[in-house]
Amino acid sequence: MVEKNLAVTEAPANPSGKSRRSALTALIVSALVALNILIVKVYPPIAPQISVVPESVLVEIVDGEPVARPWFTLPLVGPVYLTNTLTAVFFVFALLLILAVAVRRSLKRSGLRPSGLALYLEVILDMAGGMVKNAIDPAWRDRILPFYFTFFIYILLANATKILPFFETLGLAVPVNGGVAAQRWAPGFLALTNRTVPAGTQGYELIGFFRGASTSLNFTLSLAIGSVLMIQIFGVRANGWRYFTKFLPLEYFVGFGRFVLANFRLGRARRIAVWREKGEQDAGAEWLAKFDAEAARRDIADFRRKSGGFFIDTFVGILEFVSEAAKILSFAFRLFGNMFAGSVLLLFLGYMAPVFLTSFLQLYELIFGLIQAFVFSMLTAIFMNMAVRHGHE
Amino acid sequence: MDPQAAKYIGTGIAMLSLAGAGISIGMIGKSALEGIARNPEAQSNIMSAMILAIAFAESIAIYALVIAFLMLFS
Repeated sequence: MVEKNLAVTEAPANPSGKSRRSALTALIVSALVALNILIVKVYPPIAPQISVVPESVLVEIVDGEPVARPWFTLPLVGPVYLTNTLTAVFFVFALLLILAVAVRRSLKRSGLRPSGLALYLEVILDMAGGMVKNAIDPAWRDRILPFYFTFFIYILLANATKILPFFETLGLAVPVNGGVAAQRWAPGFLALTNRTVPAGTQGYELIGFFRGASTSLNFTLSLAIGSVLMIQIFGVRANGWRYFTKFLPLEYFVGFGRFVLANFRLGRARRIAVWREKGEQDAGAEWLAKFDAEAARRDIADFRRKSGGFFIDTFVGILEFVSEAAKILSFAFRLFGNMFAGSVLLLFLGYMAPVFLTSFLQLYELIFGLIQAFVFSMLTAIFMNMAVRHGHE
Repeated sequence: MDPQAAKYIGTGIAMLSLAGAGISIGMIGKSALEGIARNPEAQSNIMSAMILAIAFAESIAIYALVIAFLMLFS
């Protein structure tokens, strides 16, 4: 079927429209900056609470101190806490579901020519895919790229939701000893202030409902384990079980076993010869009949020839195994470190320049979230490609 | 010595590894720029390879950063 109206009539270029729009953007940005300064005057910013461990959203107050309450208890694992990074992950799941349904609806409505949301997504994915497409084996591109895009969109959304307004600042005000003072704005609604209460009296502390998902090591570690597991599965799919000889050079082990066996057999043959010299003529006759001295010598020579390779390849196999384990750690720590460093940077910059620069730091955060999502998914794709092509080099 | 002070000194020492990461990122950027200058058509390929290499070099610094965070905030 040929679309008749495929050529879209271009609207005549409007030279003044672009400059008007940029003027509007500048106006909006300066208004937001003014609003920022005003808000900071009225409501001084508060230093965020920073802890490496995500806080549980379910808390109960025991003797004036918050104590985390387990969400549910699993039989072997123990108590499971509903932490605020976990709620953020659920939020990202919901966003992804809505996005998927919306894209599906948009695709259904527009047919072959994507428009609206589907078009936006296609542009983004095309751009992201173009970065790695050339680095991946064409035969496996269709199977590797979906994982790349999945990791990319998931991590991108998890990082981008972190900078939503009120995402990390709305939460439970739990009473603690020490902490900061709070104003009651409405029944059941407290606003924390930047004044710390005197020691020994009761103040409040914030436990956000959400917290950037990748500022928790649990999230990044589980992603890293999933990624490295998928890399191994791709290696096995492409090379069969032979893939694991990368870690354990099995052929050499078989060769080594043959070498030992051949030595043993030759020794036995020599012993039989000694016995015969001593006068036992029929010693080990049936064993000698089955014994192939040529094959044994060949096995020994084979192994001697390859033995240098045996030690090198065993060592390389151990190194490969360690590097596979290190991949999990480096994936997890890279994402976690970058995103957690963002919130710490925000805290420290808040002490230095609380008014204006923090907004730009949020922009920097957004860019870093994008770069880290890209790096994670690209590394996954490239490691998958390396695993797939392991046998062909 | 005050344990708190030891914690801060340890954090500072852990962050010394940033020097190595900085040097390596600089070298990667230099080589990538040289490559792009010699062969401008290969820019997109060099760019993605460069980002990858920088991510590797940077991850060393990130390990140190994570160690420093663990020392500071726990």
